[in-house]
Amino acid sequence: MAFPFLAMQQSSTWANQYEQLASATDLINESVNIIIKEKHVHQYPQLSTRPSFYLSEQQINQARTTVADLVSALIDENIDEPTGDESHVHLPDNLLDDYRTRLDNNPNARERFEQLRDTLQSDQPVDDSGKAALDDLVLTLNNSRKQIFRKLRQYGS
Amino acid sequence: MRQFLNGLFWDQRGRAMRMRDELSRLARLPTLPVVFVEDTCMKLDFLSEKLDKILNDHLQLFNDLTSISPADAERLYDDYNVGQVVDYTKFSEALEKAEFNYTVIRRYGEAEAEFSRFLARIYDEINLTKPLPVVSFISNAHDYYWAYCPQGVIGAPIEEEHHLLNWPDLYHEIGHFIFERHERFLLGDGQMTRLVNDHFAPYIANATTPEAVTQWTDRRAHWLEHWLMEFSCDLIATYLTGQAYAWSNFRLSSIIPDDNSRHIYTSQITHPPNESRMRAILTMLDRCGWPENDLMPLKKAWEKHKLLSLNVEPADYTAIAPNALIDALADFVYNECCHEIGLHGYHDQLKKAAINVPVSHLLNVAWNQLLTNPTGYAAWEADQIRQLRNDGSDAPA
Repeated sequence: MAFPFLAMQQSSTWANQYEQLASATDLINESVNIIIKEKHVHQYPQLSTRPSFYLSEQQINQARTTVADLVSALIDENIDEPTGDESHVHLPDNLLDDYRTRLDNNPNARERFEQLRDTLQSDQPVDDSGKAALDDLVLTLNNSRKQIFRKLRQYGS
Repeated sequence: MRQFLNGLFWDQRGRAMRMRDELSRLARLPTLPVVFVEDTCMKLDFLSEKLDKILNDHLQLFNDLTSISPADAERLYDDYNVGQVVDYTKFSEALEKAEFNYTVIRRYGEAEAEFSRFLARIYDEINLTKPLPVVSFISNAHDYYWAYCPQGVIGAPIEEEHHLLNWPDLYHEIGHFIFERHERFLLGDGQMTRLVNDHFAPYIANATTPEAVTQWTDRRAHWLEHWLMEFSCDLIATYLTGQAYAWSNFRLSSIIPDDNSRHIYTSQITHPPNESRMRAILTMLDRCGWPENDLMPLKKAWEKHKLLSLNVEPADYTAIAPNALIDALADFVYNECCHEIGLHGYHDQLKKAAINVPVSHLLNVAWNQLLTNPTGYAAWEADQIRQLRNDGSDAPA
């Protein structure tokens, strides 16, 4: 059999997108957990001595930057996703465009994300409205991953 | 909510661990590849480890929050619920994938082993590189044949090792594995994608309502995401089995689906209309040089089938499944794939056959037998299957 070349194909494209989104969901979920923990420590400083809440400045800053960078990329198409760093989320281009279009059509969601970005970039702890925007972000990524998972399961029957 | 979510993770862990324990105990038939079982065990081990870590983290988190007060702990813990539900969803996907492999292994028996030996013989006859996909009869008559390429599994309906007439569809599923390896050249190195885009562009541009734009955009997406692949697999199966594949498609086209209007013209997201699939098949038979006279009974019967009152061609049908796209794809599959890959087509298999008749030829004889001597078909088929079992040169590599 002659041809060793493995073609880039639809199933591979989806498989790659799935892996990208699974990593993105994990990274954002983890970062959001850290941001929530920071919020809790801000409310209850005694938590800072408990093992689950041992958070270094670097961990906190990285979590805030990870989420803020993704939110910035979603709300402003002139901002490219940062590249070359494992602490940054990389989304497939078509999904990034989808999210931007959806935010263009939903001024309330856009406003929530803009406030979240400003909070994260100003080093303030998130409030309840910011918490809702964080949940939105995690769920949106999760739903995209789930859709591609279903496509992969159906493909090739 | 905390106890509920905690319970769900424990349930997942219990399911993963039970499957892993069962796999350790299970006796394995020699035709079931070791690597498939090992891969499944690794998936389950990985999942169990992840779940252990999550459960420990959650317990620690709750204990730490309780240091404020039990009531505050419950309230604050709720802030982590969304993240935990997302984790649960992700683990459900991992468990679903592992469960699929596990089901294939658990149900793997003598019938699957026998069908694997037939499949190995077919791979040799068509000159396709192994490894073989794992055969599974976890399917039923409704699911019919399927291929799940990421996991390397071909599904067939139960009892299929005793019957020949649907085996041409096995070649279609083999086609999915060929397509997975060679998609780029089967589709003309990007040319088919361009042709599909060019074909649908004016319909999308000229659509006068948002609904029409969506409809044509969806049709283009069906072609690009599914139909090019399905047509390619039909063309490969026809190249490999000849006229038998056409009769097999005719048989499937004779089953009226739930939506019985225009049924051979009905488009599905994942599969093109049966009428267009038959056009693709006839095009490939022509490319392969099947004499017109040999095809006459099939073509005449198909033309009559098309005229049945239940088959009414939709108004925009020629734009949905145009000949131009089907013809171009048939050329790419025939010229670029089947020759470049080195697959032995039906006539090549006949020429190269040494002692045993190729399975593909047997399938054509089977359809001829059914059409000329239906009353004696069952006994004839049983005899042929017995001979296939006794051929002996069909152990999988």
